[in-house]
Amino acid sequence: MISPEEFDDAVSELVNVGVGRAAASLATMVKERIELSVPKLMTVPYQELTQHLGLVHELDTQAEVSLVQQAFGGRLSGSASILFPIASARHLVELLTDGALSAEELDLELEAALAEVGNILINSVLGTLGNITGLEVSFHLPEYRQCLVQNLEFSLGTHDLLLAVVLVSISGQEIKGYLLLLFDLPSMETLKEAIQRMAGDQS
Amino acid sequence: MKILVIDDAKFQRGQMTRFLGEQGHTVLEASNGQEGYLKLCQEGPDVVICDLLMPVMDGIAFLTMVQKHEVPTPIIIVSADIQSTTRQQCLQLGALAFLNKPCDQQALMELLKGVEARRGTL
Repeated sequence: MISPEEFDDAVSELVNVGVGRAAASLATMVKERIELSVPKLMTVPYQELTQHLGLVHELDTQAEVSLVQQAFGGRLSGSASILFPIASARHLVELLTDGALSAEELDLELEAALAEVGNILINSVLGTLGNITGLEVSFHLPEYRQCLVQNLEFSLGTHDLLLAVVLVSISGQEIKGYLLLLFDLPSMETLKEAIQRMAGDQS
Repeated sequence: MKILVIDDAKFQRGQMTRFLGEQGHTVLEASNGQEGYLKLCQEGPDVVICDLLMPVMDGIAFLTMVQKHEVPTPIIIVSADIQSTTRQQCLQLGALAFLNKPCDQQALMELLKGVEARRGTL
């Protein structure tokens, strides 16, 4: 039986590997180096989620962000989001389109471009998690919206969730965003079993 | 060649269309599997480049339909889903190849050259 500390350590490492793969994808797209923070993991009651993002992860809850959210199911279920403050989001799309768009064109392209970036990043992280653990993940369509951090909604009911947060920034550019992974606690039992199996295989 | 690009993401379709156009190909676009299947039957493209996660009809359903009706057009899947089980499923359903997004343009060009060469020998 693995201890809660060993489980957190293993999940953190799995997320880390997945985020590394996501960063490699983003680096290919923007042709710049991507910096990542170490994933922070915590079990958080759903009602306290946005407050937690402000207090622990220093997100400005009054700030408007561009958000791509993708729910996932299968043996692991939850919701993954990538969010960028509006200025960072616009700057990112400028990089993606090699600065070829006018301000008006950029506004029109913003949603489509960020939805695709979010889709690629989220799939990289969760797909890696699925590949390593052998737990297949099925994805819902990504959704894009703009809202204040304090108005974030994740449609995950009202129970406790495991939250993993990674800060993503682009080297040499004033672009930073956050990757938020929220896992339903019942599916964490499945993940715990998979990690235990993997630990057993290695011993 | 005439290439049909099926992807619900307008941004991805735009990038792919631009890249393929620069290589001298004619590009047709569709935003989901159902629209794509219709264009496949009506326009007879030489090759299809298809996403997986799409509304209305996804890439797996599209591949299943193509296999069921024995349409011989080669299909290249380009998806953000990196899971090996997804890749295997697509190849079992008859996809010619499975590439991950962001798409490796060199790998795609090699695949298209292969399709073109096979076309020339038919």
